[in-house]
Amino acid sequence: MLDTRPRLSFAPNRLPGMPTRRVTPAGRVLVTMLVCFLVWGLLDARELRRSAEASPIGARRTAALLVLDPLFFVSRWTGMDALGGVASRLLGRNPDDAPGGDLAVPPSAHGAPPARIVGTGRRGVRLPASGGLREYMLLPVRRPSRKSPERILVIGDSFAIGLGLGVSRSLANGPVKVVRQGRESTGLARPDYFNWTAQLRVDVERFRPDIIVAMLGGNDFQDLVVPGHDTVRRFNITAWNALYRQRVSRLMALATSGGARLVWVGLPPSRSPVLPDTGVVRMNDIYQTEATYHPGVVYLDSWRLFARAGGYAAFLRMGKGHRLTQVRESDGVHFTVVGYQRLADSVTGVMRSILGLRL
Amino acid sequence: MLFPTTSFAIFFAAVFTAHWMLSRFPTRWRVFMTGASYFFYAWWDWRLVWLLAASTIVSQVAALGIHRTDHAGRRRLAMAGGVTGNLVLLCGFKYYGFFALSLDNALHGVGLGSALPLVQMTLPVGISFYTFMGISYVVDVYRRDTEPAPWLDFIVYHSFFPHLVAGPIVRARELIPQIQRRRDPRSIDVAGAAYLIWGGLFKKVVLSSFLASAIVDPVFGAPGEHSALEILVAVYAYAVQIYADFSGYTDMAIGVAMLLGFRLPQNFDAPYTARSLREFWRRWHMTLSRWLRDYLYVPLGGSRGSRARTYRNVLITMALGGLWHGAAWTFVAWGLLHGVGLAAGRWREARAAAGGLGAGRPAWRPASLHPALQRAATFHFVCLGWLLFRADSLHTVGTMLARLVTAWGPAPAVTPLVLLAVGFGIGVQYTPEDLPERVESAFARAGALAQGVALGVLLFVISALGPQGVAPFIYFRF
Repeated sequence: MLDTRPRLSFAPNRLPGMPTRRVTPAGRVLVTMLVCFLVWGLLDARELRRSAEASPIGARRTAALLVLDPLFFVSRWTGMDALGGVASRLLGRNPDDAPGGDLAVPPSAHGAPPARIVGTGRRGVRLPASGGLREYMLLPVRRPSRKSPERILVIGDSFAIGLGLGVSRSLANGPVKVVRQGRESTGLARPDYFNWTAQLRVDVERFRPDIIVAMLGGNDFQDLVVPGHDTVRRFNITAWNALYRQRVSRLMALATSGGARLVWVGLPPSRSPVLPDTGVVRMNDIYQTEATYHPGVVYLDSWRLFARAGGYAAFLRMGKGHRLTQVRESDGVHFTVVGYQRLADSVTGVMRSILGLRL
Repeated sequence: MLFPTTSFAIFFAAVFTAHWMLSRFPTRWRVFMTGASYFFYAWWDWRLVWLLAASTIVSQVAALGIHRTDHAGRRRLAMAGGVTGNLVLLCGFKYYGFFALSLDNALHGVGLGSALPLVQMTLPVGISFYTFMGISYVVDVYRRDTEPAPWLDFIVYHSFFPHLVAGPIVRARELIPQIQRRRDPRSIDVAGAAYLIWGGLFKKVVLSSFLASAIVDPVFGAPGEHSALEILVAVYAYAVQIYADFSGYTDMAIGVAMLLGFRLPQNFDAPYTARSLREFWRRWHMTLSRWLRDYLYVPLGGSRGSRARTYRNVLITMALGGLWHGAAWTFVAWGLLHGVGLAAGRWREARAAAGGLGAGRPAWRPASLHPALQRAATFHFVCLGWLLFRADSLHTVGTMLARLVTAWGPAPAVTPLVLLAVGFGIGVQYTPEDLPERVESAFARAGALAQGVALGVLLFVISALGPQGVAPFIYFRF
């Protein structure tokens, strides 16, 4: 690289003998551009409108919907919406998906509670989940083997993505199957965008986990959307807390209904205005309280694990050498790989010490 | 504001219209373009706009200071001030935490306490690019390669939104004459621009995003649960991902600038077809390569001294080039690996020129490898570098290399679609050089309406094939 001059030409490359480029006046380019946006908008109106609906409540969302509602009407009226739907299916995208992802729930998961497979010695025997839940929860976690590995499901927002990888690394040598289902920008505040309750039903049915690890809430300190009703403002503390508690409780009940144990990881302190400590404390209190009401749920306090001097700390002394290590990303919210590993090691520690996981 | 978003589409349609309407009024146009570029930058975080302004002011004041005097000492002092000012901004925001942490651990090892307060900074997007442009401007004025530009021209050059956050790193003498010249609104190369923008969108939104989620992120995140074949394919996939991500961004930047009547330098030229490491660096991130050559390698002495000094200069340049990519030792190791590779290539060339290498070889052995083998060897060396570049620690690199030879087993992550995407990403670099011209010529013959419909349908296809939302560009954090 260093001595020879790079072949640096001005884009695009011109080759000898090629015809001279056709040039276009700005007005025609503007027409091309507007036609392009119109065609794209009409073909993709449904998706664009749904994405706008799912965006954070505020002026930008209102303005986007003001533009997209008539566009969607025209798209349907002209049949472009149907055309776009067919093309989407051909390209592998379901146009009826919720904007946050796949929410197709099998019919069996809607009615009766999901069937479950019980632990050691009785694995493979399907029992209805109704009744006997408490007795089941008291059963020891089965001892996994290579043929029948422990199934661990990690769910939640972007925290859960890094945490899931950390749990995989922590348990890499054991007979464990870790299924990572973390999804960015999700939570319990906006079921219109992504419905974790519906998704967890599918995940439990599909993966039959022995242990579920949940880390949610990073995106939840906002107004709570109730589909078909008014939103509940986050400043209305009593109503907000009550509704959020109800959603957490429902998710905990669902997670443990199939016999799985649940490790709920609380939120750490942050230095982002999107996730102020007041909100984190409020939500952690709800998680912790609800965990005590649901058998089989263990609450892990990540605040104590990562806070220094009562608040956010980007660097912690860790390991044998007591070396200073960066544990939080520069966005002030997420963890570094080392930070996630510290959290994951605590989660697997809980699995071993409290849930009796033997690997 | 990311290029592949609806917000940018609306922003650009408005800027495009106003830009060409104001093209007859140079001063108003400059003020407008400055405002548009600062708005574009502020969209990420308005609190960091002052950094861009500070880099502009420091660079321009230094350049004017250099130009105002013929006194060698004062000129050097002004140049040093401009370079230092930009480096302070860059190091303060990008490297302070890394250096403070490294120093603390070094002192802790010998029983001493913290030397520097540990403060975590938010990394301002694009800071590595605009500070490097500021430095090149100051040094070029000092070397009398260019004249200082008027204030408004320099502000437009430095903050011009197409190149602002991830390059290409454009020199003042390339862009400022274009800013000062009146652009002709009747001669826009719409076919060339559309090819670059739509090609870039496909590379970023479809190819790069798919490979990241399908194999790269899961394998690099938890290598312990993946087999040798999965690790091997994940490294190849990362080579394609980073190429598609970064070249996709710069293609879009060049295309957007082209619609505004500006020509930005090419930044990638089929890098995985390189037959040597030296050639790779003439094809990969070309504007950074020449920056490192002209403002680091040459001032260090280049290849003017002894062979040992040349190797030292190559190593220093590449190690610092590695550090430019991120504040972590893995980036330094990546740079050093390339430095060692480049130095070894030079040593081999010198030996061959002196007749030492290959002398006395048997008649059946060719003087050099077959070009296909040279390309394969270069690509695999580059992939070894990408392993260092992507892994979170040297420990992970060791784990992955060890598993490459020990972890035999099934490879469910290696799907036909992943192989197709990797093959496409590499194979597309071997397409005939005149292919873009032919596609563009066909496109240019169509009318405005047909062009618009075709581009709209393509946009829909890209949007349908891409994931929900847009992942951040890899090079934004550099």
